Order: sequence, then structure tokens, then C-alpha cells
Amino acid sequence: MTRLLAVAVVSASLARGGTITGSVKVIPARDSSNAVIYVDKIPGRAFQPPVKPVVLDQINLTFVPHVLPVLAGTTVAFPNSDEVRHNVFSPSPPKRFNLGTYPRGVTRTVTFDKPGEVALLCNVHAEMSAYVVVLETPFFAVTGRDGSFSIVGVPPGEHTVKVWHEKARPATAKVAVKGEEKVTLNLVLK
Amino acid sequence: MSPASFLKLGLLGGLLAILQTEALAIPAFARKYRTSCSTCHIAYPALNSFGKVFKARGYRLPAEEKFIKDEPVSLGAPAWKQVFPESLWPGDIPGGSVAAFWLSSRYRVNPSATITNEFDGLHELYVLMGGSVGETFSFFGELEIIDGGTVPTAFSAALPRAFFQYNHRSHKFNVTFGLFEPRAVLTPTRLRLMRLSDYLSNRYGMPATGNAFSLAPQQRGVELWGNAEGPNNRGGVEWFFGVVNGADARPGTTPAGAAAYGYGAFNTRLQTAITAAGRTNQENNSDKDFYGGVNYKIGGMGVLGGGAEDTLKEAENFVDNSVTLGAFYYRGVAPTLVTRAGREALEPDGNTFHRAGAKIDANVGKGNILAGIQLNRDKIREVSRNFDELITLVEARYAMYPWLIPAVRFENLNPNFGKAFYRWTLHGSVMLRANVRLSIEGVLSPNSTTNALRDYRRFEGGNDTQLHARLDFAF
Repeated sequence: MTRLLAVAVVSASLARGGTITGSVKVIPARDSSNAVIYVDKIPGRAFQPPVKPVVLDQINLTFVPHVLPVLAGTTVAFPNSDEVRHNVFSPSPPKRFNLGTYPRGVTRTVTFDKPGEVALLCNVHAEMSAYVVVLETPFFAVTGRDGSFSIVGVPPGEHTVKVWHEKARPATAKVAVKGEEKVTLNLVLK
Repeated sequence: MSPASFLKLGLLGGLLAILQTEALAIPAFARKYRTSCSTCHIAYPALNSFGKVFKARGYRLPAEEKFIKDEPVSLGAPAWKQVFPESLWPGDIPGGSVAAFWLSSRYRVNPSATITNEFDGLHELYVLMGGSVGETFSFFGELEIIDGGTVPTAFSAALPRAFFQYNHRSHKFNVTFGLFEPRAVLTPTRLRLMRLSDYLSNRYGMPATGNAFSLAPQQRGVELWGNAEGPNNRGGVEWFFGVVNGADARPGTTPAGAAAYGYGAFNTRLQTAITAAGRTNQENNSDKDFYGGVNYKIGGMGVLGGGAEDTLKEAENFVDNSVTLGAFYYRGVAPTLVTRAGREALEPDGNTFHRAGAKIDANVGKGNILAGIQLNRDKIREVSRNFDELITLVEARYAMYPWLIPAVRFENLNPNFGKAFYRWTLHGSVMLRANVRLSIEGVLSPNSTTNALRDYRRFEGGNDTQLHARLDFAF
């Protein structure tokens, strides 16, 4: 009941807060997609993760989506929707795990409880990779090919906004959100 | 050349121009990035500043990934680096073909040759291979199927270049390993605009000592090199240091001019001694040569692409106002005959030779001018004197239009063991397409009168007065 209430509170704040919108240009990458832009930890605020697992699938020898930002404590489900067996493991310090090799139709789950970047690999198919980016607030977005993004429901106040991309150096910006207004932010990752 | 011959050549060029309404196929790098030859070349193979950047980055563009159209084949996702050393370091290989072809056909007029007028038919057919492997490795190879109208029989002629390269991410420290043209030249032989004759500075041996060593076209060894951009990403520095075999590119041959300078008999005895000693391979002694140098570019595009456009520029890439100053030194050892107590004997390391050069290379508007000076010095054991050649080189080109590029070169070779000679090379290139070049070129060598200074065909180092019209086609 407490958890449901917390989710309701988060949903309400998301609905009422401000919006940070704009674009991220990723210089070293083919296009500007798959950058994670997020509001960094807000002192004194804690957020409850979603109750239902978030899905990161395996289809056509590819992890889908390639980049998945989640709030710390979120459980991610890894179904195998492919015709072949897959393995999911991570060597990354925030969450080292190995789900073993499993066939089509099987789903295994992992809860990501520590913030940080978690690389996912398949030891059957060396070219497959994905990233789970574990964050401390639910205020995040993943950029599209053109680099555009929109983070909604950001609580008023001075915030640190960070951007992560697998092929670029991270960037940070300060953003002041007032009420429900829209703030524009354009960043370049090199 | 007879009027009929000119007519045939014109018809051939016209036919190609009509058929090639669009470049149907382009070389490997152009295919990889879906960009025109003119992005990197001013009348290929001569590079523009952006092409030099591409080369300096290990055959990668600035913001490489943005421009790749042929998706490379992954040999492991980048995140496998986190698993190392429990896994292989990840990498990739080119997704498309790494091979490209360069064909040329020419008509040559050489009044002093046995056959004064001749079509080569297929003058050159080269297979060029190049690509990058992962983030730091790259390779380049050149296989000559036909060269000079004939099929090369010597290994060095059939495979003049084949090297593997490591480029540090900073590009300040790189390694080239294999068979390559050393950077210790005033300007590279392989990238020259004028094809009828090679540079005297790169190719002329020392007839007085029997030393047929030449800086170009290739050496076997390892070269360390790097680049760093100058202030505000303008210009910058290139450094290099290499250790190579110091091999003779044409084993078993005497340097051009041996007889003309009165050293024909000496050279014959030397070659006989080398053959008798079984040292007829390219490398004929155990000593290794070494070299080093530096080039500094003032102004213009950064040597690593700083200041380059965010999108690939395919027009007027030849404009890059800048000045590059450069210098190099090469020290080698070659076999020679040494006389002791009246007896002549082969000493595989009896000749210690030095090559030192300095240049200034300026881009001004649509023009480029290169001026260089090079001292070749051979020192034979037991001989008190030095054998010197002082070579001066001035070359200029001007892109009147992107497709019309006249050029002129002047070279003078002044030895301390015989008479000096000079030659002019006049050139005009018409780019029918970015990958189709029609050129007319003449070498004028007014004071070269002796047969022994004449063309040594394989290396295009001719000192004759001659003319050619040539059609190049790359795809």
C-alpha cells in the first residue's frame, strides 16, 4: 500500500513539474541517439522504483533497446525472443551478474540497485551489447536520432543535469526549473 | 606524336567521358564513406590537406563514425574491454570491400629510345587495399599487376607497399610496420601528381660509389610517428623516426648514370662481387638504417582535422592557406668495393651514406609550391673524400578549376664527382570525373646527352626529354 502510494506521489509530481527539453549533439557517434540525459540526485528526495519489471528484450541477435535508463531499484526482465539461445551477463562494477544461457521463451530478471552504467553482453554472440544506466531520479530521457529529448515532471528548483553516451565523454549542466515552465537545454558531447 | 595518335587518344578520352556520366564505382575509402575522391585528393593520387589528415589519423576521418556508410563487422562489442584480460580485446573489420583498382593507359614519345613512339596499352594496373580495423589499427597494401606496361617479376615491384599501422587515440604516437615508403623524403613518390618521372631526390642513386639505394619507393622496417595540432587547432607538427633494412629496391642493378660519370667498370665489378658473395637479395648487409625528421605546419587546417568542416567537403578542398616547414635525416649502410694494399674486395658495410633534406611547402589560395634541397653523401671506407650530390627541387601547381590543374617542376642535381644536370617537368591534368584523369606531361632535360642517364623505365626515373599523354581511371 505504501509503495502504491509512493508511485502515485511520483506520478503526480511528474504530471505537475516542469519540463526540460532540447537536444544533445553527440560528435563521436554516427547519430545523436541513445544518449541518456537525466536529472542528477536531488538531495532530500527519494523515489520509488516501478513495481513492474522493465523489459529489455533479445531479438535478431540484438538487445532491444540498446540503452535503458532505470531508477535505482528497478527490476529489468530479459526475455529471449530470438530463435537462438542467448546469455546475458555484465562485468560492470555497479551490477556484476550472469544469467546463464537460456532458450527462446525464457525470461530472467535482475534488480539494479546501485547507480551507474551497467554494460550487458552475451557470451554466445560477442557483437551484442546494451547498457542499463541506473539513476537516482526518475527524471530522465533517451535521445532520438536527431538528439532531441524531453524530460517531464521535473520538480522546481536548481538541478544538475547530466548526459551519458557510450561513445562520448559525459557532460553536466545546471538547470533552474520554475513551476511548470519549460526549460530548453542544448548540449554537445565530444 | 603523330596527329593520328593524338586523335586516337582524344577519342578514347571522349568515349570514357561519355560513358562515365556518373562514377559507377569508386575506391575503397570513397565507398566506405560514400564520398568523392576529391574529398581527399587534388587530382589523385596527390593529396589535399584533408587527405593528409585522413592519412595522419590512420585512414580515419575526423568524427569517423558519423561518416561511415559501410557498417563494419563487429569482432566484439566495445563493452568487452571491461572483461579483458578474460576475453579478447574487441575490434572490427571493414564491412565492405577493401580493394580498389587503378588503371592507366598512356602514349609516350621518347626521341632517344629505341622505340620513339609507343602505346603502353595498359600501362598500370594496381590493386590498392586499405582500411581501418577497430579504433586503432589500419592497413594499406598495393599490388601491382601491371606496371610500366609489363608484369613485374621482382617482389618489390609487384608488392611495393604492404603495411600495418597502430594509431594511438591521441595520434601523437603511432607505429607503421611492414613495407612502406619512409616519411624521410622531401615529398612522397607514391603521391606525386606528375607520373612520367619520379623525383631525383627520391630515386637517384650514387653512381660514383655503386650505391643504388633510393629513399623511395619502399623500405622494410618499422616507423614511429605522430602528430599534434598547433594553437587553436591550426596547423601542427608531425614527427617520425624509423629503422629499416635500407635495402636496394632494385637488387642487381647499377645506379643510373654509372657509365656517364665514368664509373661503369667499377659498378660492374661491384655487382659481380655482390653476386659472387650471394648477396643479391634486397637486403645485402646486416646493418640497419635509421632516419628521423619533423614537419611543422603553420596555419591552415589542423594536421589532425581541427577546423575541418562537420560535413565532408567535396569541392575546393585544395584551398588551405598554410606553410609547412620540414627536415629529415637518413643514415644508411651499403656494400661497396674497398681497396686495401692494392687489392679490391667487397665490404657489405663499406659505404656509410647520409641523406639530409629540408623543404618548404606552401599553400596559397588555389596554388601550391614546394621547394626542397637535399644532400646525398656517401663515405667509403679507406677513401678520404666524400661523394656528394646536391639536389634542388621546386614544384608548383595551380588549380585553375577543380578539374584543370597545371603544374611545373624543376630539379637540379649537382654531384661533386661529375657534371651537374637539370630537368623541367611540365604537366597538365584534366579531371574528366573525380576518378578519371587525363594528363599530358613532358620532361625536358636539355643538358642530359648521355645514354646512361636515360630513362630507367621501371622506376619512371627517366632523365630523357620525353612526353606522354595518359589516362588514369580508379574505381
